[in-house]
Amino acid sequence: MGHRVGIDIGGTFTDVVLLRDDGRFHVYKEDSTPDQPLLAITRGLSGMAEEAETTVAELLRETEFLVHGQTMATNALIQRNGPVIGLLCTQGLRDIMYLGRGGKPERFNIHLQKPEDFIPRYLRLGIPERTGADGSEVLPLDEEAVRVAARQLGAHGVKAVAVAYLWSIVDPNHEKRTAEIVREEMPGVDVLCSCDVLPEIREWERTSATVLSAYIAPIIGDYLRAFEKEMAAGGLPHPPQIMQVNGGCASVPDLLARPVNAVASGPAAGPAAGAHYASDTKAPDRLIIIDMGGTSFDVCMLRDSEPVMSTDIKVAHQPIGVNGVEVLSIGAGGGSIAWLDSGKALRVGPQSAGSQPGPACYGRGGRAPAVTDANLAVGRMSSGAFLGGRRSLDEHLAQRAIAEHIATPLGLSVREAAAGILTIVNSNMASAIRAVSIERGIDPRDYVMVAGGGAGGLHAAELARMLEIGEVLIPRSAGGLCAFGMAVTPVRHDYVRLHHCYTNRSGAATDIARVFDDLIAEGGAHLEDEGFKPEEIRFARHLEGRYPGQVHNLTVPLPEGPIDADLLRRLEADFHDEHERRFTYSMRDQPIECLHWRIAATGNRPAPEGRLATQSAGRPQPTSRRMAYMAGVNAEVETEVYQGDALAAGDRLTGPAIVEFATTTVVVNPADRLTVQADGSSLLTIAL
Amino acid sequence: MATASKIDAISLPPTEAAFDPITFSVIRNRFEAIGQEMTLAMEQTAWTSVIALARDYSCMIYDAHSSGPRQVTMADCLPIHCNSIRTLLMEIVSVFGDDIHDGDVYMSNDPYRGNTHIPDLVTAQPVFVDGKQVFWTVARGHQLDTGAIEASSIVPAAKTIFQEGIVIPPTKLVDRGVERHDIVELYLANVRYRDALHGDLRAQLGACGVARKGLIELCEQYSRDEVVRYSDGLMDYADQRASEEFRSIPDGVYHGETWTDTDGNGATDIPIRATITKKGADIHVHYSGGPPSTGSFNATYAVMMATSTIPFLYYIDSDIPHNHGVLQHISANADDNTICLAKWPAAVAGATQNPADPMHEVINIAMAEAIPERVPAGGAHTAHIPNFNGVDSRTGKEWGCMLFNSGGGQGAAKNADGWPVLCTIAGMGGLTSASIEQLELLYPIRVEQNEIETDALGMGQWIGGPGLRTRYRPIAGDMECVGFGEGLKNPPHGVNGGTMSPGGGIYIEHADGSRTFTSSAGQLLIREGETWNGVSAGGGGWGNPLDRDPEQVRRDLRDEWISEDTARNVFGVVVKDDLERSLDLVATEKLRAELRQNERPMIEPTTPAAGTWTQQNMRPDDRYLEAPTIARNFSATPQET
Repeated sequence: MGHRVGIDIGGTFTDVVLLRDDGRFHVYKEDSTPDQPLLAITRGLSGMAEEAETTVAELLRETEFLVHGQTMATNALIQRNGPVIGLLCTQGLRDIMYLGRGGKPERFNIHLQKPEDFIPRYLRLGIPERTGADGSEVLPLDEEAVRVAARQLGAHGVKAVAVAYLWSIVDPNHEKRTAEIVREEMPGVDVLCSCDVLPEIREWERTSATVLSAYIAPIIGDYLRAFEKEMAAGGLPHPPQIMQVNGGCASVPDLLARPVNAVASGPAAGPAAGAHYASDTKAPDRLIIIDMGGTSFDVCMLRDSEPVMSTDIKVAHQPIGVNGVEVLSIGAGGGSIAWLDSGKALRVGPQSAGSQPGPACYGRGGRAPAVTDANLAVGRMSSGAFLGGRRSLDEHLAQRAIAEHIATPLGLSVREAAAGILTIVNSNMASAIRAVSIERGIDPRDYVMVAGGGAGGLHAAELARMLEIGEVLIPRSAGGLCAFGMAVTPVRHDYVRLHHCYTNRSGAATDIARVFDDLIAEGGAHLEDEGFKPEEIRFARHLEGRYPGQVHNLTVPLPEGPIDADLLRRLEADFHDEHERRFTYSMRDQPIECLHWRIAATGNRPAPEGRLATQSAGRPQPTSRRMAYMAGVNAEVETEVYQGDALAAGDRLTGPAIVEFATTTVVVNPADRLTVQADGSSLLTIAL
Repeated sequence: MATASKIDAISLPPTEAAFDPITFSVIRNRFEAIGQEMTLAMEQTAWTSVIALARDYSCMIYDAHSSGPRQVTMADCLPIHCNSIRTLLMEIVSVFGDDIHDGDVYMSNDPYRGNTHIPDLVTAQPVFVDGKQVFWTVARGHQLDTGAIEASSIVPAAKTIFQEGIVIPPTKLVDRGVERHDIVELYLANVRYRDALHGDLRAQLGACGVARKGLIELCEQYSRDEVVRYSDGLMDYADQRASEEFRSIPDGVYHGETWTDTDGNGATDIPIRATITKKGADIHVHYSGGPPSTGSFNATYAVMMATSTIPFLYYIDSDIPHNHGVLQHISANADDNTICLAKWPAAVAGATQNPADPMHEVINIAMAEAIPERVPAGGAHTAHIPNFNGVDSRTGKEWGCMLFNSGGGQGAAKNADGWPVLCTIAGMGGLTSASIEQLELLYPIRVEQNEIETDALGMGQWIGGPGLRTRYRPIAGDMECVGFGEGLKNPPHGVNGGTMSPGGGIYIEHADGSRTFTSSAGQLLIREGETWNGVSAGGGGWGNPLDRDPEQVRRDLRDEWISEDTARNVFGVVVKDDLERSLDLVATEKLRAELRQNERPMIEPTTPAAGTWTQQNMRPDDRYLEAPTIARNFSATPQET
């Protein structure tokens, strides 16, 4: 077993996580260098090697897996600073991307502007060709029209071309031939076909996935190839892996075949991190993973050991189409601003003070009270413990901001107002957790919460209490949750096939079995080529279907076992149960209309279990005491304060207590218990 | 300490007991979240595309106040459903009185007892906590079929309500938790597509159940009476915020006039007028207009209430909760026995589109003088929402669908070009269109075209959402098209100097290439080998086109939203003949100065039948049919049950 390395580039920091073969692990934070991302990685690896008392070359040589998560794909979409690209589509339908599914958010805001198109209309060109829903060729491909269009795109300096025709999922030949012609006419230009990027019905999502892929391909293509070269030159024995939105990683060539998988991939490492950390909790297969940072609160789920996925993820108002880890993000973080609306109702977020100027207590000119100010004002954070003491917080500025903007107008004391801010931000976060759990028919009481992010430890216990969750795990290095997840994530390839059928038709099982045989052969061969042994390969099978006549689909896992009539009966029963769980009713006399069959092929080797070097030597000692607000009892109580670095595996505390780690503070409410795990994580047992 | 303290500083009326500001915000969020859960549950489980894709439904929470049910929250809904549920709930309460029990569900679609129109089926579930009713959870969904004389939920030529399908007065559907199968059967026996409509009914009941569960949990957490007290407080809060905004509108009496294309039965260009009296924080809308339709285009009381309310909700901060506290400021009435308020037994199934859309629009026309910055230009109406049906020749099965893909554009507003596929201003963007592949998988039609049509929109500093050119082809047997819209001949208006939309048109292209144009309301047969073609109306323009950023005009031209003639003659923008169509700034400045000599009107048009698209695009040998009634001549096979 070798080392594992996760490298997560963020807006401010580039996190490098090293999980050594002996279980020790290190986190190194380096300032990001947005213009030359590789520079921060090189520096981060050097810093890490120094901290681990080795050299970069030696470190890389002994590394079994190195996984990199980047944000440049997402940033390019949000900032719209990508290259000029073109689209070839079925004639008569060149506005699919612009029209979307119609509809407009914020119904009563008539002044809302529609976001710009990723491809302006003059670079979206219709080609005479048409395939029917049954795969028949209604109109042959006009090859000359493709050539003319390619030359036209070339004249406008297009750097990548997306090809997305209607019904290419049932017959990809028109797209494939178009791509050949475009490559002849425009050598060196990236060409992406919708049947490769997202072979699923629904032309808007498929076109969008292809267009977004074309938009980011030139950007991440050059970068990732350079990264791969750099790592190889540094001595890494295996090709590096890149984090994907599906929660697993893939090689550079695999990722570049479907670049959209690189979008929104950072937070998708949450479930892998959670699964690794929570192995000793009461429900390691059922996790709610939260990450609360400065501006946002992200929540995702691990259900029956699988990340909860979605095919409806949007980035920059565009559907990415592909199946990805469903991460719900709301504007609730340490920097979220508390404000009074015109009816004097207290609101928190979604506006954030960010890191510049930051919360009022940063003393950088921020005047508005933020969640961090509230935590500071009621004793939950100490002014000296922020970022391991690298930055001090000004309690007076926090109090002044809360007094001026909230407490005085409402006639509350500063402490009451601060507690109110915390109650409301907790309520907002609890709603987000409810949205991904209770609203999906999942009972959070059966789950364990894993809380990362700089502000996660401050709020986790109280969120857990609101949702009646009994156990909360706060990783030792909560700030690097996603980088750690990258280090332990499996290689994952998703495959999907459109096969429209009904579960009650004779012969259905035979046809479905054939579909899965094909998908599994393809996925298995690919992973074996990448060096995985058969026992390291897993396949998760899913059906996306509905009751006949319904429009929206539900995805359910297939039961274990060979696909036969009996399995289909069990699958139907599971579908009815899931439908009832989510929507209060089922129709058990109905078959299932099946649309997409999916497999997730994963290759994974056991990762080293993290462990702390020191073991408990009796009851840990607090370093100080102070009054702090505890939402669990809705009161300020005298609280013992501990230094996180001094805690050893096996140490136990009972709340009220506060534990200050370098990148997070853990609040332990009265009667809750904290146990330090072998790997240094804090396990909170909530007194429900 | 802290959150337990009670204070009364939240500026709620002094008669109310004190509110804890923190609990106030938390409960507000919970009400909104429950409304959203309900909406999601309905969308994801509905069977027909009208609900699951077009999202022609709304979910609401009402209280059980002694003065009658009052709106607590309405999440992510269709505006035409706003402020139009209360009248129906009051009817249910008056019919059932103290016979309303825990576990009951009521249903009704009766437009003469407070409902909007027959296709909107309402299900309402009382929520009891500790033996007392405190809320209603209500879902209203547009049913694909009502059992009307034709296979459409709206039949423009229906002569009375008896031709519009089954009328359901307030009826107990579920009695103390037990579904009344006789009632369900009575309903399903009277409609086409019974399986699909049964599925939609289950989805509606599921949505009501989801919200009921959430409300009960909320009451368990904070106690029933506290939740009710805070719900009242939320109305006062919305009242206070809305009052402040309404007061900022200058007091006065404002008049507007517009026209609807058709009454669905032969009469055209029927006037619709509004007189708006704004005083203090209160608004009264009085409608008058042409005689009632002899077809189905007549407003009901509920529709009149909704159309009078919608614009005032977007004149104010959209963050203010749309509860009774806001709605109570707006009252409306109409001259009796006009198209704006019909008398039983007039047909009314078209009400939510026509005359609802012109009745909505006329308020913006009237208010332009008072609040020019806050009113939008006119948006597309329902002219391009065809209802297709037929028998699939491959399977012998009856099929039907309502398509929103070809809908027109939103009107421009200050700082915002209009959005596309608005479908109707009654929905304000709440209606969505279907995936083309999904449609082609489910129905024997092919979508051959669905694209922006050049110059089919109103011009201005901000331009309307585009009109679309759409072509549908039946591929397995003939199909019938039932259209029930308007807004082509009398197109979306321009405001503050913006131009009106040119309108649009609909025609059948026959196998020999000849074309039959038609009004959008009517019934047509499209045979295999023929196609349905529509160019929908783009939205109207806002502000003088000469004030539009020339660089943006250049891009509009490059992207074929507008023609070179339009760029020059309307926007005063001159471009060069190079690849990028770069701007000739000197020529542009000179031309704009010349064009500025012509003053632009506040509202355009001011006369009926001003639309230009059809007359500009019809060829000499094309035919034109007004409100055709060419019924299909193929027999329906009985549905499997």
